[in-house]
Amino acid sequence: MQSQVELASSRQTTGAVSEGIRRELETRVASGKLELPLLPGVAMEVTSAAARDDVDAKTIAEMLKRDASLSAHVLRIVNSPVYSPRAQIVSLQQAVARVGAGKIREIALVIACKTGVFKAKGYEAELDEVFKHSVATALFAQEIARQTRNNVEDAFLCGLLHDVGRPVLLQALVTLLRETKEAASQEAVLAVVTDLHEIAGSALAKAWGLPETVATAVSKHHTTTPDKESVSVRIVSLADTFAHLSVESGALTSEALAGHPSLAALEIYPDVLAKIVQRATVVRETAGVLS
Amino acid sequence: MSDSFDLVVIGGGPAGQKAAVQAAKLGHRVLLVEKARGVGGACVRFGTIPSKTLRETAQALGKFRRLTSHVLDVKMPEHVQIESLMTRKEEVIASHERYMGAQLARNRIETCQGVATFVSPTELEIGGISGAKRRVSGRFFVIATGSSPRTPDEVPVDHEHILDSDSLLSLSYLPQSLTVLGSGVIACEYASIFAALGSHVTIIDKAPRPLGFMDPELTDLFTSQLRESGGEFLGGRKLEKVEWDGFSQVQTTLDDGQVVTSEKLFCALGRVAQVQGLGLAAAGVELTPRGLVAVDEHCRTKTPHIYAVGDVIGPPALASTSMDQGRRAVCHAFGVDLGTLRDATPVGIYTIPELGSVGITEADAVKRFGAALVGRAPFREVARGQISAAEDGMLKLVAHPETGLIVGAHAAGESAADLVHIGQMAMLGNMHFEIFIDAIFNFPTYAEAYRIAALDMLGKVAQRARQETKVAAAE
Repeated sequence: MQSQVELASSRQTTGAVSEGIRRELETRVASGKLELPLLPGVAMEVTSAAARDDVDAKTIAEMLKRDASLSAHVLRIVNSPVYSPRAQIVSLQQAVARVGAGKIREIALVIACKTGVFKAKGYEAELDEVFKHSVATALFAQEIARQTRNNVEDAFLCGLLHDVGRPVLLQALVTLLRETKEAASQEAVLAVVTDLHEIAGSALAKAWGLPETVATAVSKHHTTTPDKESVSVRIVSLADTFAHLSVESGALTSEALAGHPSLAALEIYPDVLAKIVQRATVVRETAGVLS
Repeated sequence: MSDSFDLVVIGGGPAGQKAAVQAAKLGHRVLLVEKARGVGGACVRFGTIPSKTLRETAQALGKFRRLTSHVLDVKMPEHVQIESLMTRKEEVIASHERYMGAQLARNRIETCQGVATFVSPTELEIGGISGAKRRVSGRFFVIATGSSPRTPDEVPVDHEHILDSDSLLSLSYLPQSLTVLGSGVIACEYASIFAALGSHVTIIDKAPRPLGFMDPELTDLFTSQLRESGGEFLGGRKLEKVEWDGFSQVQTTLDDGQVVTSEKLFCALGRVAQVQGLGLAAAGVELTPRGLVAVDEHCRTKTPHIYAVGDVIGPPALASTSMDQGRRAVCHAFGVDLGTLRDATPVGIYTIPELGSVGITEADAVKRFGAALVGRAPFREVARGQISAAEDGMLKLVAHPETGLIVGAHAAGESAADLVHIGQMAMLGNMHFEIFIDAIFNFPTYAEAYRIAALDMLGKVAQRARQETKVAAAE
């Protein structure tokens, strides 16, 4: 385990990540030797059960009960104003029945990612931001998919996981720096993570057995030529920008998005763009609750 | 200053394409404005091509099972991805777009991606995705902007649980159950495809039978095959309410209190003309009370140099008729005489079983002539039908009761949409039904059904003659 003192010293150090470390990291990513986190068991069970038709609210509630933290988060979220409960929801079964198996799947996945994946000691604040951004991207991806008549459920998953490579790489890089007793500035570490996060995220999506569309969206969401990529890549690439402008910079307008290559690739004209922009308030509120 | 064209076509679906090509072939300068990147319209992107690609897979599954008498069975994997059942879709669409693009280029038709708005009767403003504007003027215009699904207030389409024909094929997985609202062509085509693939399908409509404009003997075959696939048709029912239960089912409440629950719901309660944003008022173009572009028999709007064709003017709204309207509108505009259009437009419905029709039905013939000559050929009596394990189909031939001239041909089953073209040619050639008895057909083919139906008809004529003789003798 790395001590807080060591982490603090690695964060305060100035200087670039050495070529050797970077190459080693690249090799681990390329050869699939990156240590990949597992999705917590209960969350995995819930997400796969919620996609089936023969599973009722009671069964899903029973699954949730085995993970106290997950259960508490689900109850907190379903009682938030975003889901407008008519009366307070006190049981998990009531929660599942009220907001629906699909939503519970989304909530379980969001919580599982936050508690099990988006963590690297010493970089909590940065990963918290990445996570909030991922949730906002997922919600905007849903809105874009709805307006362009593409699959809404897939879009959420692709958006939520598009930056999942960042925490994975951050963990790996911090570990490598510790093992080699090298140090690098926070900016330099995050820059390497940014460079390699698409490919690392794709490896994780495959390791978790997520659909091919998700792995592709994760691996190519920074493409500059979305017209040559699949629909899910186009949606996530655009949702990524929506989330940056809406949540982080608070400057989401149709004008700020003008010229985004995914608009042309998805054939989103100004009238439809305005409709998605109008959903920003709802997305921000929901993202706030989920993250 | 705006660019000037002899013809500006708005919309690149089947109707717009044919209008543009026809004008170019007449030597005119043509601009085709299309909102989407490729040409083809809804037909290519959401309609005919994707649904027919999925249908081919569904049909092949059923046919394989029937041909092997279920000795070899093909089981659908659990949670099969719909996309994986139509992997050829992208290839088919790409190849169609390539072919159409090449045709437009070959005919030197300029294309422009954007949304067109009339600013005056002779000038359009075209807005691109980026917001850039371009102005063009034209001597003639053809509006071919198509239609989009109609969403009644009581059906909350969310494109996730409650879908329309634009979003239905975005589903990742085959739903275990599907409620279909409506019993028109689109409703019945998708209903039979999903039923054949294994979904439990329930069609709900206020009409007593599906596809009400088709011969009832044909639609009976459709409903019986739907039942065999585990589906059902709830006719004569009125919709009260549709709602997603927030958990896993869509609940559809009918006026008699019955509640139908299903994993997904497909709303196919008609289509509306896509005229929003066209600025029709600036061009003096009027709409009908139903919101369709009002046209005369030449597809000419109230503003004589502006024509409208295809779905935007309403029924029959088939790709085949739309293409013909596009061609005829342009010929009329540029003063080319195409002669009178004979009433022999065929209808092809790609349900399972396939349905085809041309001319009038038996009921229409009785109404019009007081009686009708009818001949039937069940496919179980046609060698090709037996070989192909497609005995469920039939051909029904309708002739004038006095003259014996063919006035209608209606088919259900394999190749039905193709098969009726033989009847169409007989109608256009004013032929007597006996032509099918004298003619030689390839063996084994479905075309032989025409001889069988004609012989059936001949038998009835002979029987009628015998009865008339008996009556005369008695008198």
